[in-house]
Amino acid sequence: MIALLFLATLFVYSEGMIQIQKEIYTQILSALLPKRRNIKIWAENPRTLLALQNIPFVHIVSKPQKADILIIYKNKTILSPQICNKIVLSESYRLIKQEKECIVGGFFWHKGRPNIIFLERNLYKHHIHLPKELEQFIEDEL
Amino acid sequence: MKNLRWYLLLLLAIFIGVAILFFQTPKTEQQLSSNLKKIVTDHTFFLAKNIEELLEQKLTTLKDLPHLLQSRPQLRQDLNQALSLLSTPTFPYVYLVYKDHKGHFRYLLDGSKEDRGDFNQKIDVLPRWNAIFQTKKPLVIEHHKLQTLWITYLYPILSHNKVQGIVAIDFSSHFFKVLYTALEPLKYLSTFIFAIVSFLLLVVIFQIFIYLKTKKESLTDSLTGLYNRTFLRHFLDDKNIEDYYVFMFDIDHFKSINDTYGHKVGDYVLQTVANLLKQNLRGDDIIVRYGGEEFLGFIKKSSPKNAIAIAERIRKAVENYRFKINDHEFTTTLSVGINLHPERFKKSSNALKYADELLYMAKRSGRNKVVYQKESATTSVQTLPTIKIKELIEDGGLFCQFQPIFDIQTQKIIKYEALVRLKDKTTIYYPNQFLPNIQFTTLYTLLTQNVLRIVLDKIKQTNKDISINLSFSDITDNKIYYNVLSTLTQQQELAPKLTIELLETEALDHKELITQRLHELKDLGVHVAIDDFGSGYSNFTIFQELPIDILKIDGNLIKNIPHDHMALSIASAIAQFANSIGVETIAEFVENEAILHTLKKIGIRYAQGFYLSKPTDL
Repeated sequence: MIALLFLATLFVYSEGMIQIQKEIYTQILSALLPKRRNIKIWAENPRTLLALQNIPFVHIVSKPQKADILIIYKNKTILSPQICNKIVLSESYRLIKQEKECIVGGFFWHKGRPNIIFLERNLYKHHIHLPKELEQFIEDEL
Repeated sequence: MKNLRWYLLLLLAIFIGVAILFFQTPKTEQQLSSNLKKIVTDHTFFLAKNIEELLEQKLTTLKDLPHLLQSRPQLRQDLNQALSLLSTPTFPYVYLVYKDHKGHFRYLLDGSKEDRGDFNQKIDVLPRWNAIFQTKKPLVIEHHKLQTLWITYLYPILSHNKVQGIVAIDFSSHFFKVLYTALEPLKYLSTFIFAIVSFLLLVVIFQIFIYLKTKKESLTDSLTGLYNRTFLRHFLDDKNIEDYYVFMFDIDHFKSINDTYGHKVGDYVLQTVANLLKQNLRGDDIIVRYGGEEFLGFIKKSSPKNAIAIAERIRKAVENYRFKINDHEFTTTLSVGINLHPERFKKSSNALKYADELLYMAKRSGRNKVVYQKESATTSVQTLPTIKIKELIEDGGLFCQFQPIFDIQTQKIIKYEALVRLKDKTTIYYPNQFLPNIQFTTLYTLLTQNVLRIVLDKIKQTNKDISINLSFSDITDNKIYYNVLSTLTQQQELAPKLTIELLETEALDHKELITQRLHELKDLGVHVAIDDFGSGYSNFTIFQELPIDILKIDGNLIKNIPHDHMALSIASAIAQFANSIGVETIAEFVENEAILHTLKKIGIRYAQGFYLSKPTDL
């Protein structure tokens, strides 16, 4: 009985994280492509896919080439010039910093807190105008 | 029931105790959290203070920290190393931040061993952090939604009374969870006990509900919804009926309704009358279905006048009610007996019997009546209560007087008529004072058996002929009949000396049985007389049906024959008829010589009455 309750508690916790992730991505993705009713997403991290699959306007694709937005976690090898023409988000601050020419921004967990960053330069490159509530996350430089 | 209340109370007390334990556990958890937070933050204050001292030692000034540290990467590295010495699994993140001109919090130093932030890297924090710039005092922020953090302790680095930076120390939720895990068994235990006790309480409440429902069903009559005799037994045991008037109700001619319309209609009548009773009585009055069509009411005492008015109201309600079955409509009536003084009876059962007697009187006096005292039904004769009659019989107060019957021609006594009497120390009671009240009861059977014994003993003692009065229902009553038959079979020599005088006050309902039994008695030598002929249900055809030897002409006819021509004609015709079929005639109530003289003239053979002889001991 106690073991079951413990498992249930874990489940509730991870459910909570996925829920936060889902809410944040809903806001970010609709801000990046506000006019699109159906956004094709490719994501590297399976946990991210879990959060994304419940967003109504998100359509998950299996190939990066077919996506409107890519969410990468660790694998920077896919960042070809062709891919960089698409909107690329990352879930790692290090990666955003390393590939700041290509990555538009990202959402990541830092010290247990959800953190969001958008690079002003890349937003401009993709003609993205973020709504006011997300403006506070725009960085000039990393 | 009293015990049940105590058990329920005990269970409720246990439930309340467990509920307090259950609801108190989260409070204990809160209290523990609060105490723990205080201990930790007190400890962390000194830790932050040490960091401030370290910064003061390493930096010449604490003013403009971002600029100062940006230009000295080696110092940053040294300070980060120093801070990392403070990082433990309990507080894994120890760092220094500042707020830039855009309001973003950015790292100056970070001693965290993992997830370390770069210099000037933005960190998204809760807006509450900004409060420290107003208060300039340490701030504790508790995290409720984050999985890995419990609290963040913020300590302001002040210079010239301005917050230059903030030392932030994050506490891992692991530490908190470990402590809370210790409380988990207590939480589960209290939840388990609470659930078990709640379940038990529900089961007990359900059981009580079932018990009360079953009890109610066992105490009520399923047809009418009124209380039944089981309830009555409890009621009489528990309550003092002196506080009530006792009403006995009986639906008149109910058997005829059943026979005519069937039992379904009978049930409908019973239900309707029960509803009329309920409608016309108050909520605290008790109504019991006492027998088939008999109801018993216990009406809270107010005034006798009011009780009688209630009974009248109910009687009228039943009388005016139109029972409708398909296209038929019929009415019925209700007889009511009220015992207005149950306090005068030692036993409650006697009080009920008295109400029943009054009901019986209401029935006898024409039905559809309310009788509340014996005088209301019998005008001059004071009748004895059943209890008194029973006492007198049991105490040996039963005896017989014997009135001689004379042969008018020879003026000799030919036989005696046994007349039953009851006596106490001072008074002798006559049949009209006690027989009506005990008719159709076991007491009547007992009295008849005793009279028969007395008469047969007297015949044995005196060798005289004696007649005894019995009714048709006495002959059909198995107990009485077989008692007579067995006694006479055992003492056959007495049978020819005995005459049974059949009272003509009842209809001849079981003709064949009575005829058969009279023949059996006659075979033993018993004589059969028909009493009070000329009154009641008198009919000449009775002589065709029953083996009658003697005809006794009704005394009310005889006492009028000297001055009433019609009475004389009837008596004369009866005598002539009796003589023609060989039946002997006896005239009663011979109170004077004129009567005796007239009897002689019209050919009546035997006579009895006060003029000839009063009843005496033999």
